[in-house]
Amino acid sequence: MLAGVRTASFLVGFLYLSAKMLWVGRHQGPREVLREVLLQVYFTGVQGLVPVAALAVVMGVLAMAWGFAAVGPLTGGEELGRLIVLVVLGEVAPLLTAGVVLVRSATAIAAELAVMRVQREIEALEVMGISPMLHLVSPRLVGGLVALVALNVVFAVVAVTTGLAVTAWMPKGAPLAVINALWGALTPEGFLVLGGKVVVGGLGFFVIACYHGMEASSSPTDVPVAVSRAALRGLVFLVVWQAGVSLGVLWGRGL
Amino acid sequence: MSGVTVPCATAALAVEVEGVRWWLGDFTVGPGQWVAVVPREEVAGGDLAVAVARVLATLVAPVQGALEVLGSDPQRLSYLELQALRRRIGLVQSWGGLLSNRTIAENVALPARVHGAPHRGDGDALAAELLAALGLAPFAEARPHQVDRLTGWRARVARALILQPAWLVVEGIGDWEGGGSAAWSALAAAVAKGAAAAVCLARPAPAFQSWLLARGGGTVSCHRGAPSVGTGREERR
Repeated sequence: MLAGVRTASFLVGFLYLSAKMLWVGRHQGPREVLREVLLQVYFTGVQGLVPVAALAVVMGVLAMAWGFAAVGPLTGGEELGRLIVLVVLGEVAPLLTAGVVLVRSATAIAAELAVMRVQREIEALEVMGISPMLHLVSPRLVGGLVALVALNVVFAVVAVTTGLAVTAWMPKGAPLAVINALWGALTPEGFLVLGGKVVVGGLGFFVIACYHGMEASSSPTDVPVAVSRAALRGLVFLVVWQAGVSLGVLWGRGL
Repeated sequence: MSGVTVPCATAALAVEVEGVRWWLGDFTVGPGQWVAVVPREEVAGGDLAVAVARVLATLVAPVQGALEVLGSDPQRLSYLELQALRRRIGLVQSWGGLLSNRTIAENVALPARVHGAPHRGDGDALAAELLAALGLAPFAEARPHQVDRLTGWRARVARALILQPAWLVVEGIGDWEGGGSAAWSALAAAVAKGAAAAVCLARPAPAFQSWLLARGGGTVSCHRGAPSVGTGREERR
């Protein structure tokens, strides 16, 4: 328990430092920092587009097909619309997207930073008066988060579009009912909750990945340890955070 | 020497390698001077040279003794002050250190891109000049893993020199062979222009030490001390 609190306080301090360096070091090669941010957006967002879109297609089809089969053809449209918004967009999208990003990018970040430590690249930056927090950690946090938010939007759009395509096989009028229900189920509160899940969840596992990567010693055997810790702790944080938010919302509604 | 900042001065300095403490003889290196830090006895592995270089380059605190670099005690500086100090330090690592996601040219130009080239020059142009001078131009677009060990070492020399440091720390002798090399000529030219340098060796190298002596360099020996009682963990700065 005490170790958990200690690690959590380190992680918060780590996040604070990386945010602080963005401001304090704003004159330290901003173009180089931007380059790193864009590279991270590319690695996480662009290269992660296909797996996220593929999962979104599968989820959109399955949710609509099973939902339609379960609630039946008469009232199906409206119920399915709510189901898509609440379950697919509210729960599955942030969890699956973050899962893909965690597996693809957070582990890669932890491995990359740990190898940089082993290969004395971080030490080289330090001796050049270049802050590794500013040039390695902050760009990965910012770029990773931007990409994660964008991938969530992609997941939502693809899942809804695919789901609507499935409604073509439903009785006449069902597609319109689904669209109306989708539109009606989108609320500012829902967006806020979704944003909190995505942003805080993503920030959490990216910080965990960067922390464990930077924490590695000069021994090569620390690289797999850093990756495994980043993956496991990132996943635990993600699931606990997203489940916690959902339960909090349900509790707030008196359910 | 009044009014001139001494690049490096040490007193009763000790470093620790795998639980063994090594004591360095006291030395002061003024502008335009260099010194070789040499162990009295053969040491297995090159960790001693790396450990000494890390301390002299302000990366690691000494386990004991006093170190003054460019007029400051690194231990008393804030992180930002330390960063500013390190811009005036060039460290030539004996291995590793080149950023693997950048080309050799980008690695060499990086300090100038971040901090600005000396005399408001163009960092990339300065890097190209250094690459040409050190015979690295054909490897400019190569990644660090695509070049051999000595080419990587020369790239680290070029990167260490790009900001025209006042204090140079070199791990090992790199591509030095009898009559020197382009990289060592560049290092010697930097010293001739007023930089100070310390070459940290893992083992005695009489031929190199003679070469250094002929250029006005001195030798500081370090000797093994009693095993320490501490944890042996280094404190990163």
